[in-house]
Amino acid sequence: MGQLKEVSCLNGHTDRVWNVSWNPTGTTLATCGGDKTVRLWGQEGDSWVCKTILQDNHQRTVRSTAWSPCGNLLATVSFDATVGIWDRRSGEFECNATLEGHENEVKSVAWAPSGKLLATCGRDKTVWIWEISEEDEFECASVLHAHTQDVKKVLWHPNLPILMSCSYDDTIKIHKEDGDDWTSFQTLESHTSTVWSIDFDSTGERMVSCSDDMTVKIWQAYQPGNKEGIQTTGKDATWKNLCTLSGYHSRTIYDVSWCKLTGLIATAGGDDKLCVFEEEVDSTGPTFVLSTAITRAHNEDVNSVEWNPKVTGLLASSSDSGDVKIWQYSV
Amino acid sequence: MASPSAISATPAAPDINEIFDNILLGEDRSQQVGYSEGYQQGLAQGYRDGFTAGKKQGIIIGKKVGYIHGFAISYLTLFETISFDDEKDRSKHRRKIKALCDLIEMVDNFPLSDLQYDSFFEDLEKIRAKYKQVCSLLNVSCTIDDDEEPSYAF
Repeated sequence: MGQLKEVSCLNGHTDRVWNVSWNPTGTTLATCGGDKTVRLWGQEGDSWVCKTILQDNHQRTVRSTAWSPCGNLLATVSFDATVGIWDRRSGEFECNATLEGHENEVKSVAWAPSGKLLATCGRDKTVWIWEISEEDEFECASVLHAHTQDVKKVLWHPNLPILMSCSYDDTIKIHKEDGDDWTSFQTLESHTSTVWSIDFDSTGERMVSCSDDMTVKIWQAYQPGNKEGIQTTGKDATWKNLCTLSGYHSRTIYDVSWCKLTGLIATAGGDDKLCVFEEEVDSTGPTFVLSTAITRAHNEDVNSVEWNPKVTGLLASSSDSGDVKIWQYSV
Repeated sequence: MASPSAISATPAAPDINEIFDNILLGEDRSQQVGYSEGYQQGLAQGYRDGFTAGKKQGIIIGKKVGYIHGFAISYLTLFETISFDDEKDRSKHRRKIKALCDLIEMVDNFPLSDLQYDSFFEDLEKIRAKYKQVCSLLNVSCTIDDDEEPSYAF
């Protein structure tokens, strides 16, 4: 059994906080929400303080943010249908591009590991893929209309050129480049309600998803020629549901984060609960067991959770209550 | 003993039982006649309504697809008449031209009048998605209105 201890409670947002996102070096936390601002927090001594506020760019809620792999660019997506690209290479963060095209609320954004591609998705049921030219210009490489409902999240595979997306249509879809366009080549069906979030483990061989059906599912990639005899098509792996964790949350599970350092899985839900799961390997194969849980994490829905990419066991979460909290996991 | 066929062969003398039956079952009979008349009228009316509704939808779809086709061909023609300063300049527009060609091809291959075509709406969505990409690449606003029902956004 492990435990989660609250390290810091960050106050500043004046409305619900939708998302938390650590920069690649784990030194800065970007948070955003209903007050249309993005706040960047950093450590000073033992305490976490707000270093910068990015505002006056979006007209409505900022739903999510994503750091480029180099850490110099921050993409922000908003209910105002636009995507903002902030650049800090001049010393301060400046919004130097606004990407338009989504018909309405943009929900999620993700940079490919190469830093050359950006994916966005939203309520208009589409997934957009943007290519970044050498002149730092963003060009739309594809608009994918694969989902039949609101697309909640997009996520790039850590080492393959494939993109995952999950939706209100209860599915997860996988997309890849096909000639000059992009195409969806696999649909993962198992959840019985909205799939809110997904994350990969450190190897990219496994993925975790969380849903409005109050379950967490672990998926495994079966490569061509796998010894289990799972059928594959061409060079692509087939993703299959490996196990399902249920009974831990009593409301929608909004977000999930798979720690690349420790292999721990953290979940956050509408029941104001944070859970941490660890893997146990026994004779029957891998299983995931609850390591620790915080039942009243924020006093309201917990919308987002993310493990720090560099500091072992450091976890950030945000809530409808407007707070952001930093937690330390220890055994 | 007279056989039953011998009785019914004399139409001049209608069977008294039949007359009583007709009176007794009169309500049922007229209900049946009314039902089948109403059914036929309903069929005809339903057909007319369906035809009108289908025609309306068809006009909207036809207009959209036609607009997209004209839009794409106009832009492609424009690009073909531009003389690029150098190869670098041309390569900057490569993606736009490719997307325009793809869009035109998609519209050309779309069986607009084939109602039995299974992936009619699926293909229509693909055309719309490609059109959105083209608009984004050309930096023009997407002018096709969506008549979708509003939904909650979280």
